Amino acid sequence: MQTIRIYLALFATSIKARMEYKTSFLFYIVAILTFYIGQMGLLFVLLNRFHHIKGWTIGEMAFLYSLQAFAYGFTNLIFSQLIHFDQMVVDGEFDRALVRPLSPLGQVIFSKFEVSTVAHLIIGFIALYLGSHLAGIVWTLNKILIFPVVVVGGVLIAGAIRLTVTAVAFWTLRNQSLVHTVIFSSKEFIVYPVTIYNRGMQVFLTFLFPIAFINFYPAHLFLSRSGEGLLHPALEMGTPLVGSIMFAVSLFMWKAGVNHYQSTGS
Amino acid sequence: MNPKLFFKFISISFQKQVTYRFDCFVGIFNGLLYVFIFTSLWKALYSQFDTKEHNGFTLHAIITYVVTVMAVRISFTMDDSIIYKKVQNGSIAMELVRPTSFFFMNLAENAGHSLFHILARTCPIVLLSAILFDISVPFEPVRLLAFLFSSLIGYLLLSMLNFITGLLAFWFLEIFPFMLFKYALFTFFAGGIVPIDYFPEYLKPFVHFLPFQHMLYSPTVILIGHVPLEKIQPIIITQLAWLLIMSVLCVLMWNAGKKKLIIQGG
Repeated sequence: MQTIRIYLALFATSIKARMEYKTSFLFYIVAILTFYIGQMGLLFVLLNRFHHIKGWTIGEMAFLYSLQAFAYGFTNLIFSQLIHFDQMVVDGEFDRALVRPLSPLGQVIFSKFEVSTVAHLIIGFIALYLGSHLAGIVWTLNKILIFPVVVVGGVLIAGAIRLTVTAVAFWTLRNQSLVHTVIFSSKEFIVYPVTIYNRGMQVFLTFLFPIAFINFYPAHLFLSRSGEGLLHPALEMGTPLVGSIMFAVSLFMWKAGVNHYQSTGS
Repeated sequence: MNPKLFFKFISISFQKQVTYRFDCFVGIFNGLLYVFIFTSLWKALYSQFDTKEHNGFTLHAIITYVVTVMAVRISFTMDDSIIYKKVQNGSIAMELVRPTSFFFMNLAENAGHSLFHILARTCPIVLLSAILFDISVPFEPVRLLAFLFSSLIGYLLLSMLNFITGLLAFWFLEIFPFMLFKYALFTFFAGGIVPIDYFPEYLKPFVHFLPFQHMLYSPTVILIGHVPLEKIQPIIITQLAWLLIMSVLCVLMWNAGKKKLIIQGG
């Protein structure tokens, strides 16, 4: 109970710090929105010309995009500090976290909350509305209940990837470019339905680097696409399971990293 | 500015980059990842129709475009936060007392950065893509020369855009939103992902009125032979006109910025 209260205090402080410059904060949100609208705009340009991508119409693509926006939005909220973790190690800031009587991971996570999540959620809701409307999704009670479960599963997958690639910093110290490739560039893969890639890449995105579970597989459930184009129909239910397994593995990696850790002495 | 000094700065900036070898490999991998995603996307789009050509591009031509434009884009990569950092830590004051032009110093630093990118990223990516994909560029000496000239102007335009964005640091504490905004416009309008030919007709006049296409799209279409030889001259003249407009803007911004500048003692 006491621990939770400390975490909440850390959380409140980090939000307050971010809200200190209100205009800057608002402008930041607008800039991120513009960026994502630009990305969606290019999709629109392509779909305007080609009508669909491997059978995915504009509404279905929007829905695909919304699942991705929600998953990465919440992942940014929780795991954003991990991106600069190598800096914390190099500066010796992480040493402080180790001597305190709280979980080191908890302290790293709660030391900063990325408020740009607001922009992700706005985009997520716009895409969700457009997607549901254009693709004619019938929101049964079942689907409404499954939706948050899928988003949480997606957050676990994206969070696990971040945690794993961050844990690498314990061994390599500086790893910014790796972090950027694995976390940001790879996101580009699932803007499009995974079926546009060759079989080898589909297998890779399903079993080895399973980001296809963030949006592509569960989207079939909501869009009632009845398993077409899937490696196996059962995969559309896989998101929560894949998320839990990956997160457990990444926690293990993190613990191994902490045990390996030796201060840089800065 | 003394050319000897200019090249000295290029070489220093180049050497700075060489130190990060691991980053370099990740960079190549990152570039290939994007080439793979976008070639897959276009293959999927083209496979949906019986028509072999869309907006003047055959599948072969669009793949060539995607690889070439990516190569140009990676070659043009520069650190656009240099000015911002200099304003933040106060070292901009040093630039003011130097007898050299700040713009050309900045350009030299960028050029060293880009030169490194051309050797360490563009070359391997183009080589690997040429093996993996079916790409071909017409070999005409005039075209090649025109491409080199056009890319040089494109590069200057992009560094001026970055210069102007960077100078905003004189007026604003935080310029990251501006950079994101600039990046969004650049991604959408420069033709780095979707060539301008695919844009809907009602957007085209607007796009043609902006400078962004002259940074990536123009040099690329000249090189791959998408425009006939006699059309090259008007393109380059428009580019030169933009170069003039942007230079005037740079001078105005720099002079206004110098007056505004307050060094925070740092």
